[in-house]
Amino acid sequence: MIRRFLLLVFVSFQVLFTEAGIRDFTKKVLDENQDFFGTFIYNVVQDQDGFLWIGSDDGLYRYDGRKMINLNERDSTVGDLVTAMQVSTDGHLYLGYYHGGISIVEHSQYRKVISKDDLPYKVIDIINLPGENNLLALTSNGIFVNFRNEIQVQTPIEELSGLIIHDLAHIDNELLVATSDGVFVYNIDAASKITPNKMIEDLEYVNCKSIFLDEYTDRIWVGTDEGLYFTSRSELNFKSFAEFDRLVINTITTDQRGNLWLGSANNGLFEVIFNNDTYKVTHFSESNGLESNEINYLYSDREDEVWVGTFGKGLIQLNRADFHHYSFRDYFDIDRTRALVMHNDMRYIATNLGLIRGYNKPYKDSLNFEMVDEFAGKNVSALLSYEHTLLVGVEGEGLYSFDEKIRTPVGLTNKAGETMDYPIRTMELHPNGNVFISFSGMGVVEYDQDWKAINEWNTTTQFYHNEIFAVHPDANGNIWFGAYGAGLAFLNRTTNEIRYLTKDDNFPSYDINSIIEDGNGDVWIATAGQGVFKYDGETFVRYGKADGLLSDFANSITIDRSGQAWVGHRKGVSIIQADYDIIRTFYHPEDLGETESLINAIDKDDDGNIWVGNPYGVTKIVLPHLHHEIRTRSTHITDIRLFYKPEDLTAYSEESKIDNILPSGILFPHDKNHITFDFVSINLKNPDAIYYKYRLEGYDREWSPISKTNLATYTNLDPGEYTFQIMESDHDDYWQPNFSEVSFGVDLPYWNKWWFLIFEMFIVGLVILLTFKFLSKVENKLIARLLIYVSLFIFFESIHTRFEPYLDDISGEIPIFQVVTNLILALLLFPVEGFVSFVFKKKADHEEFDIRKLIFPQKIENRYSRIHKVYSPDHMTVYYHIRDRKHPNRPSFIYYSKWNVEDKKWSKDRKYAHFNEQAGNQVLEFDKVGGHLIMRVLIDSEMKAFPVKESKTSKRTPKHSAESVFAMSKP
Amino acid sequence: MMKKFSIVICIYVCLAMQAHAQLVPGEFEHIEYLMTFGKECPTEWGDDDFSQTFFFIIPKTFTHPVYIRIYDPEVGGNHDVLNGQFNTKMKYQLYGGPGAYTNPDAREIDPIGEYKSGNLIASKTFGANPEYDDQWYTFGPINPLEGEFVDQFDGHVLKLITEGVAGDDGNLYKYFLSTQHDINKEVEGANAFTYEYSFRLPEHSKQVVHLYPFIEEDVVSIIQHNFDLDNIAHVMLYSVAKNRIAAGESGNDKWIQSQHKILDAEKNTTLDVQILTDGEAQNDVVAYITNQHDEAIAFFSNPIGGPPKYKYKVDVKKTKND
Repeated sequence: MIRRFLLLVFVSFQVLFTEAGIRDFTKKVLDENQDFFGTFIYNVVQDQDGFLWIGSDDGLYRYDGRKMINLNERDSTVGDLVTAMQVSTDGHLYLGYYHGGISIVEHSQYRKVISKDDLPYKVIDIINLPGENNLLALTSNGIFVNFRNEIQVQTPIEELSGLIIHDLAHIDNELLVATSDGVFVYNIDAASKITPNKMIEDLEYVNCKSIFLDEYTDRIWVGTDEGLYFTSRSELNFKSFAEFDRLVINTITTDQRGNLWLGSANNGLFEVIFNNDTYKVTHFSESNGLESNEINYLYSDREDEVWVGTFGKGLIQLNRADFHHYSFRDYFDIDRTRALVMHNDMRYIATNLGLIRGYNKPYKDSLNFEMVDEFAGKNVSALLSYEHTLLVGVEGEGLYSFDEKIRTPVGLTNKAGETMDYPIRTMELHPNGNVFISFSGMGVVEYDQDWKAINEWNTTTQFYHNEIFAVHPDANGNIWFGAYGAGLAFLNRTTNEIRYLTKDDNFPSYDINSIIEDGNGDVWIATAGQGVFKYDGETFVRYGKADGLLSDFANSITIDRSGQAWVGHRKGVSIIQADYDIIRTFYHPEDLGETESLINAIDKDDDGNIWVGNPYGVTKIVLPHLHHEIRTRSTHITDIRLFYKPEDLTAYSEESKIDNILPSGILFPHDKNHITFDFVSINLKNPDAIYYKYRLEGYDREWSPISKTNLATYTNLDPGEYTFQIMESDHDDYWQPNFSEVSFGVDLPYWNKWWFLIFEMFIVGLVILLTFKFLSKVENKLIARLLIYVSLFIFFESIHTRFEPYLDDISGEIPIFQVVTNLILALLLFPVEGFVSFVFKKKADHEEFDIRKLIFPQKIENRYSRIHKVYSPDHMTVYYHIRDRKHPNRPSFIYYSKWNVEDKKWSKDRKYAHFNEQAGNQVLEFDKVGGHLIMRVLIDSEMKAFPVKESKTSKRTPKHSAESVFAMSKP
Repeated sequence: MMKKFSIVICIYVCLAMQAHAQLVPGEFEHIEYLMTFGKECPTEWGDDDFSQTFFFIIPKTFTHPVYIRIYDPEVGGNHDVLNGQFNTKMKYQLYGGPGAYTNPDAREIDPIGEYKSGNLIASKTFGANPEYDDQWYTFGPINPLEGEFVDQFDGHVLKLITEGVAGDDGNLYKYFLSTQHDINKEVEGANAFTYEYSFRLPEHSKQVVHLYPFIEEDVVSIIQHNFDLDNIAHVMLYSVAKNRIAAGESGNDKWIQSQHKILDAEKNTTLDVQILTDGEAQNDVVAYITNQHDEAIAFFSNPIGGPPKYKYKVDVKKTKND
């Protein structure tokens, strides 16, 4: 009792201020650990591909969430400060420099648009004007430079020279220039012609450092060294925003939610959240963990990350935290939160030792918690925001109606008029305004708005159980009941019929912890031991541990604004993204603060945050509908490296102008076929949360295994056409068929090019021809055969080599298959080889004859006679027809000679027959018919055959001894 | 030659890195305040051109933000010189970038030509602003890289021009080159210099003010100029080779000059131009020094190599008795 009293005294005086630390944000300082060496940040901009470009004192950087690339080496103005950046409508990045000049970045390479000599003044800002590639720059001495499609027009403004120009904004048809002497307004027409308009009187001689059009509120904000000013877009009637008096506001931006961000010169960073006519301010400074109070540039990217460019401390990425844990452990000695509810813009938390209230101080966004004195030390079990009051269920005391300071007991009775002071498990509001209260051990009672019990469900009314853990009036007014040990029941209010779904085996779980309904009317049921069920009006769909749920024991459940179900477990939380059929889990204490979610201690606030009760505090799931949506991103193939080394890819492309990250039409030489693809899907908030799959068309038959690595390497690619395809996902179980790709080729080696093939065929043919020719001159038969062999080898090896790669495709890598395939090829080539061998052999023999012929006729042909026809029926004997050169009509002769194999010489020539007059001299050909030699002669235009007979005698006996003489006989 | 000079300068600048505060006027100078009058004030009050230009050197190795702080920048209240009613506007303009120092006009004595060369980084005009009376106003944060890099100093140079753009009152003020915006914390290795010094002499008699011009290698003679000493102060030159060499002393609203030879021993060293007060008065004066080419020589707030010490020569003669 004494301990309880002391505890009561202790907690009564505790107030937890949670202003320390950066609210709902984590931060990442980009420094040398990310290869970033800039300390003074001048500009940050995100291009259309999602890359973040940073202009710093260390030059220009490009950041994709994982890799920071310094582009100084490619910048002709290295060493200069990038003071202005803008992405044009066609996606190119334009840069302005401290020492003057404007460059464009294409494919990570710089090109001067305006040289430093032509524009030798600091470029203050570059903005987009309406129209394609229509940009306007402003220099420190007041020169507007309009460059549309790189045609530039300079418009010097005399009144701006001598002033410090800080910022430029294009609003409607006017240009607003923030200077050290105030804001000057200029008209700009459709042709980008600039004419002076006026000076803003409200800001005359005020050093205006930044100007920003807030499109969420249609306000124009001006940051000065005397504070913040604003006006509506239409009036240009500036007023001071008193909250920031005397602060030097260097930079202004808004995030994707419309919150205003202010960067001050020496006082850190401010976030202003507007809500109708009021606002809340969060101050980030060195005192609560920000690295620097000197803020020079602010930028909000498309993923709603806020980038804080400091002056001297580099770049800070403010990540919106997924979770924010508020621990009461050191302030309130509680060990259990039991219910959560928002009421009158305050967060109320029911605990076993009282009621805790969370609130904001006026205009401050930081949340403070305090114990509500009226309930200090009491075991508060249930809360309900009911009209203008807060209903507070206190164990042992009953129900109170609480209005900030006054608590009034609500005398509850049952229908019989008996007092209902039993512990309240839960309270729910019916759409008709009635309140359903579940009493421990006494079932559920429905009260009307006068607190009269109009219905009750307990075992005395034949209800299935008295311990109802969950009551949920659905959108149709029907009531869902969840009990421990008896499962699920459904009350149809129209028919007043109760269906006991578990008892009737329509629902498998007996232990129900929580019931909620989503925007589609689907009812979600969190069970102890069976996971979570979704009922769509017809069937129950179960999500269990086997499906990815953290545990089958689900203590609480709620639905966020995008329809995702959040389930609290003892070990953490799960999110069921039914639209994508995936489940994700969070269970690291570093994320959640406390992992344990208590039964039914869950709630949402007006902003869509989800609050989960823990034993020693509460965890806010920050804007889950925004933070956990599945996004479809493009994956950028950022580079192709050869042998792991970066290359200038334009050297392998014929593109003269490169509009994409990589040039198209890339063709690598055959020996540069070790290729690494670098790719990234830009998730600046959580770059490590991206999964990839890839394949190389022309090489891979299937997609690669899922990986978080953002590179892929292929080695020894054969010549051919390839397409590398890459797809990404936020979740390894969810893939959409959208992928990025880059096509390229690996060129044929020169020996496989058509011209070389022709050349090769020519060479092979030439070798064969030379062999053919050379054989005539070679007397050595071995050499002749060797020549033939070499020719055959060259011929067949060239064919085999050509076909070999295709054979591998057929046979695969299994040796025996390769043997079989080669054997098939050999067998296919066998007849060809045989044929060629035959031809060569025949030719060789023929050539052998030709060789002999060349020797032999020399002795016959002279000034008087010449060989007219030669015939060798067996290559061993030769017949030749001699005609007189001067008198071709004279009778001529047929000689014959034989080859002596052993001596390798011809026998001496023999004249063995006159050519008779009837036959004439026109022997057209010799032939052998039926083993007899004949000659065909043209007589009177008619071909006639004469047998050639060997004769023992001759009219003219040759000088040489004759072995045999052939006589011509008449046909 | 230039290279050698630069090396020498760098060495001396490094030597000057002894964490002396970048207070302007420097602590060795014993000058309380800088002085600039409104341009409508007669020059007999002590300001010849109503403008003062100071250069700040930040070593290139220093890569953090710097702040230039101005003490009592407004004209009114304490320290300032009332001439009728306070009606003076004092404009402070900070320049960096190309030409801020290297433009020859920037190094001239008089504010003529392109003396406002470079990029205007910051500017502020003060009148009688009580909130800054006896208080510091801070320019910054400033990226040192926005200064002009000068090889000779191996650092970046910022230029601060203070002008009395209106009125006839006198502004007494001082500067501090700091690493913090709200306190004075010196930038290690930094220095400040001017080619024409406008300042207030100590009000009491027998007080000594030191000006520290650095004599370069090619200087063979100098001409010291002073304005409006009212004949109640004496100018003396000291160096490693000069000891109490009297120089010219100007009268009211008058310039005077005196020429002095530079010995070899004095080259690449710092001179000490001492002004000894000889009366009880508030006296605002101007001083500058030119070389034989009529080029102004810079006074450094922190004397390069430290204040010079005269090297006494001791002649030892051998007598017959020895």
